[in-house]
Amino acid sequence: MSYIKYLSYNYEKIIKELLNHLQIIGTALPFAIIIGVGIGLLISKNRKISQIVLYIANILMTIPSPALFGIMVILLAPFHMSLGKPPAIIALVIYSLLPMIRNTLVAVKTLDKRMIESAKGMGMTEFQILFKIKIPLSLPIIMSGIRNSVVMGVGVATIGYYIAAGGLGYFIFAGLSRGRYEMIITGVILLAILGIGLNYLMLKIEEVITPRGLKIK
Amino acid sequence: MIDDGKITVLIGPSGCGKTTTLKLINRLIERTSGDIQFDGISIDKIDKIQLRRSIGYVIQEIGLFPHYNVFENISVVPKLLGWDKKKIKNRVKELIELVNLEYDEVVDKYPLELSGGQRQRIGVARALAADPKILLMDEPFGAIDPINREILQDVFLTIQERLKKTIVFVTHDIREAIKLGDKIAIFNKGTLEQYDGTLSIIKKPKNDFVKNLLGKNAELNFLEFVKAEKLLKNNFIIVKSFEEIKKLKSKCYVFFDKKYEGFLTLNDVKNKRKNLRKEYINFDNSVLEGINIMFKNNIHYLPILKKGEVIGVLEYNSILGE
Amino acid sequence: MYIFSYMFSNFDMVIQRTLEHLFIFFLSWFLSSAIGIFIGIYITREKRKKYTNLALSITGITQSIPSVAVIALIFLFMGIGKITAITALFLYGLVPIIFNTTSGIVSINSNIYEVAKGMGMSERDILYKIEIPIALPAIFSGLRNSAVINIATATVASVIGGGGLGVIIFTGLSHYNAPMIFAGVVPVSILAVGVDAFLGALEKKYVSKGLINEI
Repeated sequence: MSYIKYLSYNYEKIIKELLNHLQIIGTALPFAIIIGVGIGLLISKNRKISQIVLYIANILMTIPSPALFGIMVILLAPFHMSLGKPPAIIALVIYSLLPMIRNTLVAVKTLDKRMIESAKGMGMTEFQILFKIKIPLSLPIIMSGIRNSVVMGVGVATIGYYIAAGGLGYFIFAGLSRGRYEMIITGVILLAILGIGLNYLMLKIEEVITPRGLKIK
Repeated sequence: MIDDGKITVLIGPSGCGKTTTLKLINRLIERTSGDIQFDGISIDKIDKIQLRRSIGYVIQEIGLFPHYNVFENISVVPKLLGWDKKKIKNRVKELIELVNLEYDEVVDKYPLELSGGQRQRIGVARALAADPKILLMDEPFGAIDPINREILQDVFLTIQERLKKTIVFVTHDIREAIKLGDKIAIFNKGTLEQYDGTLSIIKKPKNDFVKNLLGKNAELNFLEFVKAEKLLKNNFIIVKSFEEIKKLKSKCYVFFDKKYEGFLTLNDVKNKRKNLRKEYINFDNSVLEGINIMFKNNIHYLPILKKGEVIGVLEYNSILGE
Repeated sequence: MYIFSYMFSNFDMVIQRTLEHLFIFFLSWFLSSAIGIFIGIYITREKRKKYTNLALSITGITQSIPSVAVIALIFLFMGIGKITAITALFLYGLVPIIFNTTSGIVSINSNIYEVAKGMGMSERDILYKIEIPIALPAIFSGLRNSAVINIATATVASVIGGGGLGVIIFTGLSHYNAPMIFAGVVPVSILAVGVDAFLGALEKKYVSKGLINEI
């Protein structure tokens, strides 16, 4: 009973923080995709460089997300940007890079060389090969990298609460420190739904953009 | 009835039951009725695991264990049987050489680093590791290009000549069946259509299904693969000189005085031919080559030689029987 | 130098929090690993094959729930304290290990099984000589994944009384104290990167070279 009461008093706040949460993820995503896929495509030609970049991205990914937020706060302090959404978004972009770069690399590298060869043989330009062959065929794998990033982002963005970026972290962390169970429950439910829901949504998108010829297995 | 020391080929369209039959033998699939016996003992009375360790098993390319290198792959069964290290090492070396590969070159390699043909040879070597009496092979050369397949089949036949294993071989390629099989069992939709010696099947296909499966070139295929010695006839007489040809008893006279000198046919003798025909065929050449020689020289007989000795003749009229 | 000030003046405390972090991580991760691998193997046995896909989809979905939510959920049931934190970490860390062990075993080519059986390997032989070695790269990636997630989640678990380096980071964040944040960030990052590198080295040592498929 009391929980429903809580919801009816606080639904505006709940919606606001949910939108905040989505906004952080949504703003970070395009940057992460452009940078991640871009880096992936750029370095895919050079084995040495791609190994080094992957290695660095791997280490960045290994750093716990609260620690990364901490680093952002420290690094952005001189620019007076260390509080609010910008550091949260930047941290999220950095965090999302690895799955993007890795999957882009895997996608491009696993493309059948003979296919590229025959595309060249048919007289396609580098540009055409990229947009007509490489990208459509690697899109499913790149997309699963994006899905990875988004799902991770749902969790990582909760830390944004600590740097005044808002988001669903509020219900969890404020709830915990105040001992307010209804807040915690709200946070848990919303985060779980968001994580599972976005994962499902992205899987569906992945399915839609996969060329039909690749689905037959 | 599977003959000891021979290759029995199971053939038929996919889904006909040939692979199932193979798997019944090593009990990868259990029978629901009937019986399979080794030397009079039902395989149900033999422990499944022991049974399988005593039977070599080869399937298409992918059967090598990817995490084991060549040495480890070949030594799987010997290790299961608890052989000591030295014996295993010697055996692996022997087997790699048996399948015509360089020991030092391949022994440390992993399956991914081998070519398709090399993998298949290692597959055969692995199945032979514990010197099983029986070898089950399920389309072992199926995934290999035609040229290498021919080479592997030849290597395989040479090995079989030496080892004389009892082999049950599944294929869907009739050429392969005719080339390798001493006997062929033809399956269709789960039933055995015909089971007989290769030549008997070619000569007397039991029904249209078998006829269609054999195709138009079955005889030619057979003659291409079968060695001359397999079809040798004994209706010839060895003579040392023309004087010995008195009563015209035989259709073929082979002149032999410490070494092969030539031969004459009955017609030649009737026509008073004076110079001997010098042609002959080696015992391990194909019958088709023999026929070729006969065509070129317009003769119906051809002596078969083995290590300088005349062991018989090829008789044109009887090559494919009555 | 200002940034190091907190770390140097509270060196003992930082060390103690690091050890605490390591302890919580190791205990829960070890349990996740042992039990996760066991479950992964258990549900992939021949007679339970029909449950394998179910397990894969359940663990797949669970992996998309943020760790923060799981920690908060376990807190709702168990209250504040180290046991709660360890339980939450253990449960959350279990998921990738079950997932990877299962998918590693499931993706083994059926031909391999057939040949192994045909050669006379017992089920035990097949498990120890074929399935585990071939699934090992997947299992290791589960272990590494789980360890990295665990160390990060352990930081968050400080808010439910788990202790560890999260205490320093979150206190630093809420006081907007850069040197304090730094004092937590550095050891926790070293810990995560170090553990991952260590497991990577183990992986290199124990995974057959025949399975390494260079991209």
